[in-house]
Amino acid sequence: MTTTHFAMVDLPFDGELRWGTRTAAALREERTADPGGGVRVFYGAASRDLEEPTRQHLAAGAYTLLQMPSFKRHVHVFARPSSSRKHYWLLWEGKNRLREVEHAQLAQTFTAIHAFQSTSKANFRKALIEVSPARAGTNPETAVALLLDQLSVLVVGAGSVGRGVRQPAKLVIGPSTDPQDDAAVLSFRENLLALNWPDSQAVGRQLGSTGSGAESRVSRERAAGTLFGVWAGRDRGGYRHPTFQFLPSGSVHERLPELLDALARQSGLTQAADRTGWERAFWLYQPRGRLSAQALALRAAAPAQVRADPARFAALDTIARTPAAVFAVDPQAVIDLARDDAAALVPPDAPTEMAHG
Amino acid sequence: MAEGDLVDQLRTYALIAGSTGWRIYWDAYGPRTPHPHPDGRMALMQDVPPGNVGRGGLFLATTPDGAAWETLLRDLQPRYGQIYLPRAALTGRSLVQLRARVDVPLVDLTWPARRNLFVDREPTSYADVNTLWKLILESPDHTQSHHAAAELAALATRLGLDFAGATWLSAQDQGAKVHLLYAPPYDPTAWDVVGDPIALPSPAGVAAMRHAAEAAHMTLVLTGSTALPSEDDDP
Repeated sequence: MTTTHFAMVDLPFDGELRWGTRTAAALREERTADPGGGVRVFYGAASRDLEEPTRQHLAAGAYTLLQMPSFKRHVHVFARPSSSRKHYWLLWEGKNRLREVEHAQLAQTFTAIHAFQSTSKANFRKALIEVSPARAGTNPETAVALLLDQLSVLVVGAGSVGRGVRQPAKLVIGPSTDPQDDAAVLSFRENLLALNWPDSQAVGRQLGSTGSGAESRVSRERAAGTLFGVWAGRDRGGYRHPTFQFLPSGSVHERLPELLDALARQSGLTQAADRTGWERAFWLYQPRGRLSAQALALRAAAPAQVRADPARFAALDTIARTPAAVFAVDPQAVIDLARDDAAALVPPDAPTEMAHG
Repeated sequence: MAEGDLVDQLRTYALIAGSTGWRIYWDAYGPRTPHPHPDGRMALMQDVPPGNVGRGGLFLATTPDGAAWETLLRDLQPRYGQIYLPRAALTGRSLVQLRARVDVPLVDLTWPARRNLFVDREPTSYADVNTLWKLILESPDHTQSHHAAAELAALATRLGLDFAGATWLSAQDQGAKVHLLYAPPYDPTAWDVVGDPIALPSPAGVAAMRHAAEAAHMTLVLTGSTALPSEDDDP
C-alpha cells in the first residue's frame, strides 16, 4: 500500500524557502511550523520525491496566493506576533476563494486535497495553506513582501503564474455564507424577475376580482398555499407570480397545492422557511435531466415496451427541462420529483455500522 | 436466450483487492454501511417487478467527482453555466474513499466488456440490445434499470451464480466508473476506510462538490443561505 504524501513549500518569515513532502501522519503529529513563523503551502502529491515540475507549480501557486489582495489584507491578522493561535489554516478553493479551516477539520481537508490532486488535470487548483505567527518585532507584511521576492526569482518568466494574481480573492470565514454563492443567487433571481411575472393586481384581475379586492384575494390565496408568489421588493411590484402555475384560462392549476405540499417536505422549502418564495423558485427553474422527454417516457413505459422498440425511446429528446416547464403537461412527474428530492435529504432507516462490528 | 433478453449469459470479473472507490454516505450510519433501500441505477428494489426481492446496496465511484455526480449533483443541468443545489443537501453526509480487502466478483456492463454477456447474437438484435443498455445505463430515470437488475438477479439464481454487483461507466461523469455492491453479499469488514471521511458541509466537502462541478466546466451554487429581503423586512 502506498503512503499518501503532500508536497510542501515552506516559506519562513526569517529564513530560506524550502521544499519538502510530508505524510498525512506526520502532518497530524507536527505541532508547530517554523518558530519564526511563516507560510506553508501544501497540495497533494503521489510520491515522496518532488520533481522539478511540481516545484514549479508549488512556487507559482504560492506566488499567486501571496499576491492575492485579500491574503495580503488578512495576513497581518493571521501572522501578527501577538496572535493567540499557533496556526491558521486556509483552504484555497481556486477561483480566488480562500476559506478558513478549523483545526478539527484539518485531517479531512488533507484527504480532500490529495483527492483533488489525483483527479485534477490542472495543477494547484486547490491547496491548503498554513500561516503561523511571526516573531515579536517582525512585520508580517514586510516578511510576505520578502517571500514574494524569493518566489518571483523562481516563477517569473516561467509563464506559470495564473491570471488570478490580478483578481481580488475572497476570504470566507465560517461555513454559512459564500460571497460567490450570494452573487450567483442574486443573479438567478434577477434572471427570473426579467421574465416579468404578473404582480398581485394582475393576478387578481386574472382570477376575476377587481379593485382593491383583487390584491387581498391574491394575498389570501398565497397564504392558503393555493397560489405561489415570490417577493420582488416593494419597488418592483411586490409579489410576482411565476406563470407556470396558470392554465391557459388564467386560473391556477388545480394541482399546484399538491406540488407546494410536496416541496414543503424539504425543510427549506416550506412556506414558513421560504418566506420570499425564492428557494422554491430556484427549485422550479433548475433544469433537471429526469424531466427530459426521454426520461419521462422511460419512467412510464413497461419494460416490454422499451425492449420491443428501444430505438423509438432512444430517439426521444434528452434535453433537461425545468419543473416549471413540465408542470403544465405532466404535473405528476414534477410532484414525484419534489417528493423524491425531499426523500433524498434525509437518511434512510438503516442499522448503523456498529451493528457490523 | 430470446432476442429480447438483456444478456445471454452472466460472467463476472474480479474487482481486485486493493481497488478503491469513493462514496457519499449518511454520517448517521457510517462509511461502510450499505444503503438499505437504494433506488439508484441498477438497484434491486423490493417488488420491482412484483415479487422481486430487494437488496441493500453501496455505490462506489472511482473518483470523488464521480461520487458527487452520482448522488448530489445527479441530474442537475446547468443554467447560465451554473447548477443550483440547496446547501441543506450537504447536511449529515460525508465523502469517503474505501479500499477492497478481497477480490469482489462483479458483472462488467461497460463497453466493450459487455460483449462477454452475449453469445452469437444476430447483428440487428445486437444493435437493439446495445441501444437498450445505453438507455438503462444513461437515462436520468432509473426505472428501466431496476427491471434490468432484477432480470440479471433472476438469471443468476437460475444459473446458480452469485450476483454480487455490477460496474458501468458513470453517465454523469464519464471519467469515472461506478461499482454497485449488493447487500447481501456485501461485507463491510471486507473494505477499509482510506484517509479521513470528508464532511460535506465542511470547507473541504464544499470544495469537493465545487471541484466536481468545475471538472465539468460548471459552477456549483449553493442556495439556501443567501439573505433575500422578504415583505416583512423590505422598507
